[in-house]
Amino acid sequence: MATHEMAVQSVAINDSDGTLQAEELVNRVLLFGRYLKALGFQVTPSRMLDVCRSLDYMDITRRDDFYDAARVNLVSHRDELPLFEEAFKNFWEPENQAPADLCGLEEPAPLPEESLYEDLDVGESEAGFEEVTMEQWQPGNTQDFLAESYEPGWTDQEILTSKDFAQCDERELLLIRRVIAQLAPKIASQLSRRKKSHRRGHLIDHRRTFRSNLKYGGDVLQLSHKTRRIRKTRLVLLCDVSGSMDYYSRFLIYFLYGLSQELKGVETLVFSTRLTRITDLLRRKGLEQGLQAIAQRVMDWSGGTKIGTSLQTFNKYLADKMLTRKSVVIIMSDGWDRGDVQVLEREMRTLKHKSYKIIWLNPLLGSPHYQPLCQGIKAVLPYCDYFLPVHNLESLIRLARTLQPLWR
Amino acid sequence: MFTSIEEVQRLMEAQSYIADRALATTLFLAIKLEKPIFLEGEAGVGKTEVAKVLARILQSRLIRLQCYEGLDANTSLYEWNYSKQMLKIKLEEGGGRSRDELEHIIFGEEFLLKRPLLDAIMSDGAAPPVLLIDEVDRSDEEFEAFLLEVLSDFQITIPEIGTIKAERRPFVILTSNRTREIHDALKRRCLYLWLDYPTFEKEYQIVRAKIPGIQQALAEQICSFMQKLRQINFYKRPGIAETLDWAQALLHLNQAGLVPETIRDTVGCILKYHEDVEKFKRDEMERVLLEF
Repeated sequence: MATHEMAVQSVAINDSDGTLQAEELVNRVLLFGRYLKALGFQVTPSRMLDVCRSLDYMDITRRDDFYDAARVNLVSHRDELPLFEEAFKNFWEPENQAPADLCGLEEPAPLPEESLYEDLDVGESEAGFEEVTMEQWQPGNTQDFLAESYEPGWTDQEILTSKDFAQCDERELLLIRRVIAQLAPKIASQLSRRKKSHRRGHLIDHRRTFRSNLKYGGDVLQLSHKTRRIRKTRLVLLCDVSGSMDYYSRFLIYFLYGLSQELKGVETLVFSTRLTRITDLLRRKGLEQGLQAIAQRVMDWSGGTKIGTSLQTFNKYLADKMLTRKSVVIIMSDGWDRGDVQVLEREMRTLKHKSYKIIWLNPLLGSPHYQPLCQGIKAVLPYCDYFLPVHNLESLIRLARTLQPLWR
Repeated sequence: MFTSIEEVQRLMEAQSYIADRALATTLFLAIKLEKPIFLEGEAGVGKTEVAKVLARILQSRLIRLQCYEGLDANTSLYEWNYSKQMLKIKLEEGGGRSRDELEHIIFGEEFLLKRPLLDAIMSDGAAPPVLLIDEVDRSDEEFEAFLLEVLSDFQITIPEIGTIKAERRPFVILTSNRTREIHDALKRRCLYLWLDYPTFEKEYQIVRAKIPGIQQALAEQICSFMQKLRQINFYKRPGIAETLDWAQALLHLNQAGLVPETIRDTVGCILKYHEDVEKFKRDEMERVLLEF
């Protein structure tokens, strides 16, 4: 409440009648904050206080200035900008009233959620936002929207099937997990640019050296060393579950599950014609229930393959959230792409720029006669740091043995 | 300091920076509210320039911290000048100073190497300095967390000296190319502004302001060409910096207008990726020129 009163004191505006309406205005501003909060904006008391303080310094009858002041204080993502503009209009100018009515006293418009949805879904705002629905703009809702499937446009070509994962071989799973436990640290660690002191490090730690030699009166008798730290990598798994991968799908799911359980912060997505995030399902304890939920959520299991467009979706909407430049991306696919090869190549290039290493695991590599001839694979090869077979337990063991830690 | 948004805009224009009203409002509020500014936008839209211009307007010092992966507290805050300390100890040998006295001397300010953040906090010029934390998206999460701490109260503790608090808060400008998302906690403390590519009018003004010798016709052609170019899906779209480079180049080549040969020869000024250049020469150039 102290906050509120402070804000009231700091704002003094005369309307046309010359009466003081500061308190009303502040109330409206605070309501606006609540409205934004309901829409998923990160509205905090301190931010609202700053909005109120801002009003003190400016001519709030200028609509655009007021808009800018509210925006720079309350928006912190580019993606939120269109939604903010919409919300601002809805709240302050419900019927396109003149900006002079800013300090109007009427009750704020009720949350016009439906109209908001409609307006936004038309998607005429800006290029790049056409396919984004309302939920995707709400940071608070990322979990929910991530769980949804993405590509809305491919219904004509996808074969929607649910997969029956009823039987789950406990023993096989156990074995796979054991191998993954060996494999995981190799994939998931890399040399950090940060240093730590180390007895046999090859760099001299000046700070420590000086400190420890003070006792000899400034003569350097002992050198302290430091070395680069080993840090944990963030892992993103993209697994192809199209028809051509059917034969391996059970093994792959075990593999995904094993990695998710073994390592922290693994993001898992599967794709055939559309991209589906299943990270949360794989984190559950017990694979049995997880599998059922996966079968329900992934609607295009054993469908066609659109690696290119799936990667495009990933790059466009998720890469910035999920990837850092330390991330390792593992793609599991046979590379039979029914989509445009140029798209695939372009998206691989983008992905390469956004991540640290790309590992492509190809089940077909298990066959001794296999050569990477199909167009899709040819296009992606230049962008992969590793191109390795994975199709059964045995190959996994070999993988664990051959794969060197991904250190620079 | 500033009395109105218009004044900010005018002062920036005097430094040949064409600022739209939203940017001027943000700067104005940042100074009034004493909050850092978080500028986000594609490379080459003039984010860094904002800090430089602001420093010139305020006639204060610009302190720049360029971020990179692995940047840590030592390289951004302070470090003791170890070799100088060692020498001092050697020189003082047999000088009759007591241990405590000597320790007091070698851990004094004289032996402290100020890195940008400490520099900004300890700065005691006439006006508070402008602290530019450039490309914060290149640093790692650890540094972000550290930055959050420094930016929240502008004080740091050096064990040997004690706590140092900024007498006047520096104006802080953070920039990001958005190669990765910066944590919300950091952004929430700032005024956030997304800098977009300029409109034709704005870009034209910028070119005229920055390159006084350029002819009106050429400037117009360049700007409308750039506007069209930005609609093409390149890996890296050209920013204002590229426009200015290109205009400068064309001026030196004594060009009065755009012709295909010159564009072909100078495309390296505007497109910086081989694939983009290839794509432009192969598919797009004729189409863009046709629309002229």
